[in-house]
Amino acid sequence: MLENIILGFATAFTPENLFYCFIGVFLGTFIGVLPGLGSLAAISMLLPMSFYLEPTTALIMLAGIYYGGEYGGSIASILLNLPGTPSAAVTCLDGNPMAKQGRAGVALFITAIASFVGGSVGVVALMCFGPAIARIGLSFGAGDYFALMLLGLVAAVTVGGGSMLKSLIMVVLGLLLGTVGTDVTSGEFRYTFGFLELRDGVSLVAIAMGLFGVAEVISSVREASKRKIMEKVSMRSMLPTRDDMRKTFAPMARGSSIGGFLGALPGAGTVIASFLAYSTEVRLAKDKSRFGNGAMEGVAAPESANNAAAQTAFIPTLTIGIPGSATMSIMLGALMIHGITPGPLLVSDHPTIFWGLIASFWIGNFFLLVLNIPLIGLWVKVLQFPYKYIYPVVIALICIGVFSMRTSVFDVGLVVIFGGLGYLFQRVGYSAAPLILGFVLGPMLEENLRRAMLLARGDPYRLIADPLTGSILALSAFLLIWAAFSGVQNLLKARRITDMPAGEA
Amino acid sequence: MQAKFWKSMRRVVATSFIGGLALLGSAASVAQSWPERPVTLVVGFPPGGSTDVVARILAEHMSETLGQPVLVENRPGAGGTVGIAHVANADADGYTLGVSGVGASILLAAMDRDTGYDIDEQLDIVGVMGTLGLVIAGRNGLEAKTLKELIQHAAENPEDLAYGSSGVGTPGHLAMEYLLSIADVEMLHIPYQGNTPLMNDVLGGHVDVALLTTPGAAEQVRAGGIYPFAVSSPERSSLMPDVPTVIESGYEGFTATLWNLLVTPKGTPADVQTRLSDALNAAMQDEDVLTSYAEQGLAATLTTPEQAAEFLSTERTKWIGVIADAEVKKK
Amino acid sequence: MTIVSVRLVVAAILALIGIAAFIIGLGFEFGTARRMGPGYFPLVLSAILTILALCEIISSLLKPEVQHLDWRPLIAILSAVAAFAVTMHLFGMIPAFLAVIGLTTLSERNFGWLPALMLAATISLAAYLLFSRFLGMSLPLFQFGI
Repeated sequence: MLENIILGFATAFTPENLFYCFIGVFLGTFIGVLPGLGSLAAISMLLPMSFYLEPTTALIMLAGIYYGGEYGGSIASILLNLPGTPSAAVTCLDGNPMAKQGRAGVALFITAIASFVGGSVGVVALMCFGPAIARIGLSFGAGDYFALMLLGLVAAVTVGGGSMLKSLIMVVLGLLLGTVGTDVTSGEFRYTFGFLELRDGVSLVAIAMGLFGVAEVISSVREASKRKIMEKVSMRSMLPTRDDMRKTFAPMARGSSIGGFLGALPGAGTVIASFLAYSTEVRLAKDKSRFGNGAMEGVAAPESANNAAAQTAFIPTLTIGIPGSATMSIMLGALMIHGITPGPLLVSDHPTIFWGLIASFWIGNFFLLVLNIPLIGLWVKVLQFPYKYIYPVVIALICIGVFSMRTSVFDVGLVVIFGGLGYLFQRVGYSAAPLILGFVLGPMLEENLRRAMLLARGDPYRLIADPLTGSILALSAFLLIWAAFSGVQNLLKARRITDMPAGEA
Repeated sequence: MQAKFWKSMRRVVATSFIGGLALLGSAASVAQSWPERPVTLVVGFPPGGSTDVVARILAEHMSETLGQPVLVENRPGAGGTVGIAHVANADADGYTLGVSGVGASILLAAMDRDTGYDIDEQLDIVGVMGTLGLVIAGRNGLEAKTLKELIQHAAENPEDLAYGSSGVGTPGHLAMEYLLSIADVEMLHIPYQGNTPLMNDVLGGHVDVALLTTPGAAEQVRAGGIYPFAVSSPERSSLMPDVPTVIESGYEGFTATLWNLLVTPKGTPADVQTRLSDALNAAMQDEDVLTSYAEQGLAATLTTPEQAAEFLSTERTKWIGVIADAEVKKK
Repeated sequence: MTIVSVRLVVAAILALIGIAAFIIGLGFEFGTARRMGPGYFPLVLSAILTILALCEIISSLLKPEVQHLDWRPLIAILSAVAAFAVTMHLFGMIPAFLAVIGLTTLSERNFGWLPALMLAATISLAAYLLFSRFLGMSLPLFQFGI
């Protein structure tokens, strides 16, 4: 074990590998900050660069790009409410309010720390329990995935600070949007209205940029032109206080464990992780109203969950050769181009690659911290420009970002629709984050339910009777009832208060 | 899903500069001097997939032969047809090539899906870029040890076994239906979205049988995670020399292979076609390419454009017959 | 404009989406619980969406509240994005950037044409350097027609 870790660090600590790790983190962050371009886009764009490198070096650089891209996405989410991925959408919930309150520096700092903590926990889990976690992942069948996704959706419904009805509507609308395109099981086109562009589904980036970015700009133009330009910020004011750190410690620990476990489940894990971590914090908090208004736990927990999951997502990829996400399959492809087919024997056949990669994961996380803390000041400066000059640039970047994802003018048109809808939703208190989760999980939810029912030969009892499926379903039911119950309780309490002094509501 | 501009950094600056000059110089007369600028090879799948790997192996060698870089551009979507539709509508100047697989060339059109192009009317075929077999593999714990035993079990216990494929109307699905119709037995079909989740479920024992592409499956077979019954190609796979073919297992006349064609827009000048064909065949005989092919379980092929067109028409007749036999629902 | 509450309008839009999706969904094969057809999920979801949206309509009628909309930025920015799509398609990246920035700046009454022009020029140049040069995207800078 220790031997292997030493081997890993010995492999990773060559000047060349360190250099490419650094380049990867740097470029990844840079691309990830651009609206619409997340870690997936960053890694796909820079993949060809890696073809000229040694396999280990290539993977180390790609891993660096991946973390950098994820972190860059958080920067854009916090500063400008521009999430490119579902997990970044969670970061927006409290990160952006923090930035509006002039605490962007603190939010970015906590994000960097939480990413590092989450990443480190993930790396340790990867080192110690890699194969074991991979086996747990394998034991998840279609029914279990269905149940797990349902749990994620329930978490999303209970996340929305406002009315549960509205969150529920958003989740269902997201699920429905997810059915647009080619049906996996039958190959039939649904809701494509004859558009070739809709056959692969609605573009997630177009939805996210419309609902978050465009809607945000429309509603802030008026206030922001009045808003005072932020005072010069000192480095001191950007650092979290000791109290802040104390308050975020437990959320980071909880987030890391949730993410570390879920990351190992191919496909759904990383997406659900941040939502579950966030809703756990909301559930545990005494004062739930702080969430959505710049609660630090709301940034720390999902960020650490996301990064822990990003690490453990490598477990199925490296130990059994099954990529957990689109990004992972690109990494697998990079290995295959170098003539290495990842599979269960990668660890024994190519120990230097496996352990070198794990060591470089940690180094990558460390670089991310070192590189980004000094840069926080620079990022925060973006917000010190008058908003007047920021928002036209944001809109232009959204346009080019969405367009370039699929070289599609059609997708830019979608941004118009979702931007308009998003503005209306925002005005009347619908949260867009549950919609994003519903949209991403929808196709997987449907596919797994249909497959589970096929495998159970159409018998729903056979599905529920499975111990794992049954217990996850029970957990979701419990969460939903609990949330509904406390919702009603709050409502009654509120009514009692407003009823007493007759008059204003 | 992802952006499609995967040019390497150092090539980028050069490319855009040279590209700009070439545009000014107009692309009217191409014949003699082709290629004057980098050639784009469009792949209808994301980077890192098996088609992408084939394209990159060949592009590297063809770049040397042609004296200009052959750049792989990924335009994924709709089972590879988005990329091929792009090629079909590109200028026939020899600077846009495409990699067209079984689905994009035959299956989708044969199932009446609208692909956005007609391969006979809009594309010229340069050659076959190698073939790849599928392996019929079972989860651990199945009693059957040969394909015959597996089929027999299915015959005695109808509906007991479920098999997974990488999607409705994919070669794996059709090949299995073809086999089942030859053997006159039934198994429940469970479609997955691609090889990855399918592999996960057969490793985890959630589905009994799966049709997998050889390179990924070979590693799992070596580690004992799944049990191989037979390979679908006419010859045994270089990756699993111990595994018999379906024909050897007693199902005469059954073959199913995945392949890719190198295509150009219809009307590409004849001498450009010839040079492309020569470059492709040169690559197919190169030591390094052959080594990479063997690692990926691919069989190299040497074809003239005429032979490739004939290959396409034979394959088309076969798959259309399979689709009709298996009564795969159209649309 | 202030007579109907925005909340009601949004709920009504959602209900309409649900109803439309349901009607279109009727055209897909429903299937059985064992072998669910492509229509199973869309129908169930659109039915749920419609019911939930109706609940929201009722609740917004019970408790009417008035929100106002900022029409100027709404129209300016949405048309800016739409203009980007059209100009990108017809004329290429640089004109598209000029169009999107130009229209976006109309969200404020007194943005001023000089700052708008300077912003547009700077952004076009920066975008060209960043996307075309550095990231190597093959985006047409200028073009004509389809």
